[in-house]
Amino acid sequence: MNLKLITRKGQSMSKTMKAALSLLVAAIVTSLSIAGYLAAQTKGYVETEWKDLMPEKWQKEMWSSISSPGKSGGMHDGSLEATAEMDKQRKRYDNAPIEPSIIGKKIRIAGYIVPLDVARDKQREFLLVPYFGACIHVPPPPANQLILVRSTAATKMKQVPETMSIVWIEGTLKEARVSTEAGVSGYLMEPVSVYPWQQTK
Amino acid sequence: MLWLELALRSAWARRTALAMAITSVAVSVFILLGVQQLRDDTRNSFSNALSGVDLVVGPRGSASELILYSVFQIGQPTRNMPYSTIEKLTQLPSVAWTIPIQLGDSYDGHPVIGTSTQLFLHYRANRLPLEFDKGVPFTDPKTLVRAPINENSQVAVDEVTQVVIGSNVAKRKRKNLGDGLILTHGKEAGLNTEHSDFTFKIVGILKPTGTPLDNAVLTSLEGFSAIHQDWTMGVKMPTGDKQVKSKTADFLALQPHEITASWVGLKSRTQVFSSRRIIESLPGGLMAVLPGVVLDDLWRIVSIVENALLLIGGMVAISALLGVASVLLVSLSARRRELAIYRALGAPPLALLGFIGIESLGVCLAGIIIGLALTQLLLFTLAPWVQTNFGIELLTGLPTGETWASLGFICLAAMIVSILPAWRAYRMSLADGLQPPVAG
Repeated sequence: MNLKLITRKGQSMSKTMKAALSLLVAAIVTSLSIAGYLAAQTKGYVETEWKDLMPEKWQKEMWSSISSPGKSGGMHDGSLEATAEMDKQRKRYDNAPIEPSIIGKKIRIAGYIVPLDVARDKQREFLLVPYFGACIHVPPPPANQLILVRSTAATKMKQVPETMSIVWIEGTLKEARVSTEAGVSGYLMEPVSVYPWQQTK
Repeated sequence: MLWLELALRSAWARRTALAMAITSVAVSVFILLGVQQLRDDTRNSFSNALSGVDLVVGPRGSASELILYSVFQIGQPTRNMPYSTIEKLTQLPSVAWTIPIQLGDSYDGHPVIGTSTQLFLHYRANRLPLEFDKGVPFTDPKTLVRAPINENSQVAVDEVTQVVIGSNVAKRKRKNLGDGLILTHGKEAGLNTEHSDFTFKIVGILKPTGTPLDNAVLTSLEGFSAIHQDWTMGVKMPTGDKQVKSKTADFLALQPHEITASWVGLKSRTQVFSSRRIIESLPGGLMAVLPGVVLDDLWRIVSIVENALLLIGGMVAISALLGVASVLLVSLSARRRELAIYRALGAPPLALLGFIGIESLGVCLAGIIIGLALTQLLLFTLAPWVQTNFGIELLTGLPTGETWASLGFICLAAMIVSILPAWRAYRMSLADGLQPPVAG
């Protein structure tokens, strides 16, 4: 009798223990993955969204020009006037101005990789773009939604940047000066660190 | 020492079975390592080939095909692009330079590339500029004619028919500066297709680059056209001695109408998308592709096959090792008396465990070493052929990171596999006497 009681007690004990243990394990795993993500982060770099790279005024202008139904509402796809309108829109995209207040800031931003070099090593230059398939399957984003990423010997990077993989980059945002009629166009970064993006929330 | 000698002599007595076991391990190691090394070398060769080129422009079609034929000379171009577009391309505000690429002819299996002197300025092999082992670039024919270019502009044939050859061409064909080359129309040398009217003179030899240029013969676009002067509709017309004897050629007639592709460098890489759009909207139905993206896509497809091959290689290795274990296990029944005599001579059961274990491990290791040597030997023998036919540089020498990993995997598997017969020998030696039961 006595023995049985103890075993039963022991069993119920072990059940609670198990539940507690599994909770603990789950907690550790979650905190580890978050910790891993946080550990990869470098202090002093502010998480930034792609819309922060667009000047607000330009954004509003573009929005109104796209959404005014009077102009494009009656057009048919592929018609001459629709194509002309698209061309105009594209030109505005290509010459999109950058946001001057963000230049020189230390930022952390996530995006997709479009490699510019054939070589598959860590010195591979790439463009970071905000959405999947940008420029390959769907129309390219405006010039102020691209960051030219030029890794240096000091850049911390574990994997070779591959087409359309998602990464965080951290570094000081600079302007990529281009001597064309458009003047300054696009951003440049020599990142301190590049690491795979993970869903954290 | 006595035990070692005994073990060796015992193994020698069973040499046929053991030799077969060693061979099977060697072959499996050979397959695994061969696949791995071929994969690494292919990747390296492809990655080195084209740095600094931002866009590859060609006729609209398949992007991967365009990269493969225009950069690596694999496959055939299906269409050409009009030459006039090159001039339009070069004049675009975002374009820094263009390198025209004209393909189709060969010199004894080596592709002849018609291009411009821009290639020597802007092409980067593994991020390094091209260097000359000997000589200089071919003369740019455009510098040979004086300013108003018209129907009367003439160039000296000698100065147009100059070539620069890659390091492998110089090595294989034993050619030196000043030697003549007779170029062939089409890809292979054959009957009646030698463009014997113009002998091209070697003016430069490039240093090795590890890229397809090592196998190429480079000439100017005008020189490339000169090869085809007497050809009409794909047939060589007998023109008598007229062309052969003339020392000068009509400059305008040498201008190409079409080229195969063009490599483009931009002033700023952030403009790659807008430039691409502008180029694709030029008349002539062009396509501009990002070589890095295309090759990544290609690797993604190829990696499925690679992984399947590696998996097969791994399976073959495991089955070979199991074969070794089974050979030794079967031989144990035949060796019951031998083992019993060792026991009678004073060997403790644990010594027998080591005895058999070391034997099977030895068989596996011998197989691995022979397999490794076989791989290196074959890579070394095939390297020139693979280099000329596929433009892939096979490297011999010590294996690299991942190959070591798979060697380690095989060694580990070999150790685990050797425990099996050893353990069985240990059990048997405890139970059996000098008169063991006949049935195993």
